[in-house]
Amino acid sequence: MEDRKKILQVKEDWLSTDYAKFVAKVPERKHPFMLDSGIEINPLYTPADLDEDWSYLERLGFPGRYPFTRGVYPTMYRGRFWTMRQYAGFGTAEESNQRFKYLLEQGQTGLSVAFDLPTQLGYDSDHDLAVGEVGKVGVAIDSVEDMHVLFDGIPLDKVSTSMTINAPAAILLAMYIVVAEEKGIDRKVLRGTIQNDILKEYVARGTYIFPPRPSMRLIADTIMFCAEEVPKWNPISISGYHIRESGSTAVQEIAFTLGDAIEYVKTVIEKGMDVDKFAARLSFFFASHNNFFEEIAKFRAARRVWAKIMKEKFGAQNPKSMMLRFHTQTAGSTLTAQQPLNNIVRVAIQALAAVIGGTQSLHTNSYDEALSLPTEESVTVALRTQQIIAYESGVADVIDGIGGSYYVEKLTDEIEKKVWEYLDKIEKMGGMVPAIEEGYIQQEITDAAYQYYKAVADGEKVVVGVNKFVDPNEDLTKFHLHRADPTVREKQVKKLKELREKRDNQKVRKLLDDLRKAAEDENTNLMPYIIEAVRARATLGEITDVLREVFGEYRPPVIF
Amino acid sequence: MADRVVRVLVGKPGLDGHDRAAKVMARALRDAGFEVIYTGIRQTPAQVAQTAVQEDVDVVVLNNLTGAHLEVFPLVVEELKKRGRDDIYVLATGVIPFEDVELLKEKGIDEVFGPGTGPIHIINWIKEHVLGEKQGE
Amino acid sequence: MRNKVSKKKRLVLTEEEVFRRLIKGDEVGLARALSMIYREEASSSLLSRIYAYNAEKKEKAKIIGITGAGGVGKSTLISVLAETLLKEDKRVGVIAVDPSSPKTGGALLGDRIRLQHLFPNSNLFFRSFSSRGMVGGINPFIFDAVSVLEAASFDYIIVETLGIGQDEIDIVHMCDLTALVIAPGLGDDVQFLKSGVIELVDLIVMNKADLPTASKTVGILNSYTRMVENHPDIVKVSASKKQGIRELIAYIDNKWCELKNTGQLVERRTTRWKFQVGNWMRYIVGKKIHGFVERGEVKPKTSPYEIAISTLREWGCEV
Repeated sequence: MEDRKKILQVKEDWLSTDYAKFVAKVPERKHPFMLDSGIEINPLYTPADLDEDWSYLERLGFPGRYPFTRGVYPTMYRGRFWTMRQYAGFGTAEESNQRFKYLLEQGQTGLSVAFDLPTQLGYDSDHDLAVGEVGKVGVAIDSVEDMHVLFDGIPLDKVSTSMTINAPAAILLAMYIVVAEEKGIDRKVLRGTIQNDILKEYVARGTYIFPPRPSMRLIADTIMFCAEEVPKWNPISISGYHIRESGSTAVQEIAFTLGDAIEYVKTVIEKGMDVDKFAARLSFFFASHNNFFEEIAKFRAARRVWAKIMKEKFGAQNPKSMMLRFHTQTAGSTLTAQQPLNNIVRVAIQALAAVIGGTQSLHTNSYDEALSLPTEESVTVALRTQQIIAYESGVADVIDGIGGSYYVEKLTDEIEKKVWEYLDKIEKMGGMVPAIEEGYIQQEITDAAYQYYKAVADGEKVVVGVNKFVDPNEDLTKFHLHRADPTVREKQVKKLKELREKRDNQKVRKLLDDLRKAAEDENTNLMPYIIEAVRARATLGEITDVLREVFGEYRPPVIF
Repeated sequence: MADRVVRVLVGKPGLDGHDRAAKVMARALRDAGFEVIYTGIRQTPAQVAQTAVQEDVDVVVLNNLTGAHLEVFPLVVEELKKRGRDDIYVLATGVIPFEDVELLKEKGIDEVFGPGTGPIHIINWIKEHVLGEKQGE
Repeated sequence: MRNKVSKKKRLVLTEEEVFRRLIKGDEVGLARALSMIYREEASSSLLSRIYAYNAEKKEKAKIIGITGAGGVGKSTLISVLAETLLKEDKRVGVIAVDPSSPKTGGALLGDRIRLQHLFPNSNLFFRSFSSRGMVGGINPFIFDAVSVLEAASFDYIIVETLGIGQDEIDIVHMCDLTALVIAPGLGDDVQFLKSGVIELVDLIVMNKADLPTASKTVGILNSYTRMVENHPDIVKVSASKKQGIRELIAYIDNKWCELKNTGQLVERRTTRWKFQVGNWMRYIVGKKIHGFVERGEVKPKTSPYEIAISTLREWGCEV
């Protein structure tokens, strides 16, 4: 940048004259302007605000090439749009199946399954702790029979299916494979993702079952199994979304997610698999929040940091191993119960940031989510929002259209710097597992969440319709709310009873016993054992119980 | 020690693992000068109730974001009654649609703080009902 | 949304009811007795009845103090201790003290989270206290709380306090025997070993003993304890793996019986009782002094020392 000095000179002059005079007349709204990540925002960015050694080829390069700052594919959305994938699933498998078919008819291009909490925690619907929870936040799956119903009439060799499942992810993947095979579809053609990211469960989402170490082994088993057997499947979606939703900053979201990812990669490599054999199938999941430029910069920084980690730390050779491919969801926590239609606008802005940030797939939230489960109407508006961005806004016609914005490039650099600071600190603690066991990560997130709460409570942070522009006559009662069917549990319990009468119980017992023995040997991959138990109609709860006995249960440290 | 310190239990009955709201609430209540006991996630109604009894709290604040509130919250009230402590206030918070408010109140929940409310509303309610009662004595 | 609800009348129990219920082990009565003491609402006659009742009792509770720095796994250890004792049909009472905010008086009491999975259980009682109003670690409430739990016939009473420091040392006066919990990775940080804590505790529990660095820490410890006469034994456990817990309980039981048989238990409890007299005196006088200082008129020409002496004499103190 040959004119760097000149620009700095003129900028200094501008700041001390035009700018200063104006500020004297009309003071600025805030002192200083800050991002939640702790980065101060200058009034104006110029090419001279970039680092002196800033190099286009080093920091940005070209789409589809290292360090992938501008995008992971050479054509990005000029070839194909991102996958529009709305998270759905509630009640019984029958109901969810209908919602899936509806969404596919509306032009959705991938399925995303939400499971109820008993399923996510490895309890059958007839377990005592399942009272009140069966079919509530997603579909209840007790055995492969429910999975058959869930995907009835859906061509598993054509769709890609994403499953939000973590602690028992191996079991749900096994069910998907068995369903496909029983329909005559080869597991080699299956496409989709299991979330399978246990580390963020300990710090943010809470659906852990086993302690970290046996959980890491289960994850390594699924990653290694998929690399050999289900090559088009993403065996993990390393998720910052829930970390962000539990109150972290954008920098923490990226730092802790990549910290988790490093831990997974380390674990699989230690088990003896070459990094390039599995790394290309690692996928990520982030949130898109309100601060438009910060979010875009965050996605770009994440791609660059990950590429460097894979290349420099793990010695990956295959460029695909260095690509950070990610799903994005708009930030549910930013949606307000007050004036819910405003949420459509929030979601649109967040979705736009995700698209400009180069996401591979996107879920847009429904505007009534702060009130209850979304209705068909609100889900449709959310999907239409994506379609408008794709087909009408024109942002998808160029690759990384915002690249080269002085502000966004500077922000990308600063976020990257702060992410490295966290990663270095975590490494000094011995990695993510010790950092979580000691409660460090949880404390950082909890502190950020409380700061955010206080900023809103004190009015320092404006939330339109909540602490400013409040509608005093607003009636929060006028919205139609979808309510999950209260009889789902009864139905599931009945199905379970029938299943246990019908199946070959002796065979189930034997296969569960085989699984127990395999679990006791750390070096045995559990996937084949789980698949056989699932095929014999062992239930999710039965399989998880065997693992609970061998692995024990996790108890969290006390963090406020 | 003479001034009355309000003791509040923040409880998470049900399987919901999202505890940001509960933790933010616990901190906000602490900053309002209350002694706050937190149960952690994944509690049964009996666990929440026995905790409330042992800690001799004035108020139990329940939080659940999964929609299990209609089944689970009234069970906490029942468990408190079983233990002879249904005099303890029970407040409901979380994603609770308006049409559930009366249903919960009929089942013994003293107040519902659904979407659009925050810790400040709960703090004010507790100050009025617990400390106000004290002034009236 | 916020309709007025009729105000509930908080449960009121007379001291007579509280006493009768608590000696039966009733949780409502027990919990209320603790609240009354903590809020200074209990009359001296209720406290005297409790002490008299305990003095008559044949079966004494084993009162165990657990102390140690943050992060060594005290809560986890107490959780598995309680779990193991409950399986043996023992009644376990736990008291935990957390700091309160000096600014608002509020407190976050989270110690019981680690034990919540053991509830509901009628043989397990847990009470969280904040350190509010506890001047310089002088803490008459916790002492009396222990006596209340003893009256409620617990087999084991576990008292957990945070951190190591001068303030925590009175835990050893409060309990029959006190365990200091440590974890590997002590490194060069042996300050506390020099501070004399080791001479006061009855045993050192080496938690996380399964970690590879544990033996190094034990080595450092041994070199220190050897210099101390009657030095405490080191018991190795891994609370998270539930290893060594039964052995730890056996150690505690043996030690306690030894104290009992040699008359040291009576001696310790006598010391404890005397210490508590002093605690109450310091607390009561401390509050009186605090009130006086707050109201105090400033007389810049008089020395503060003179005011102090003359006021104490006015109060009838021979100084």
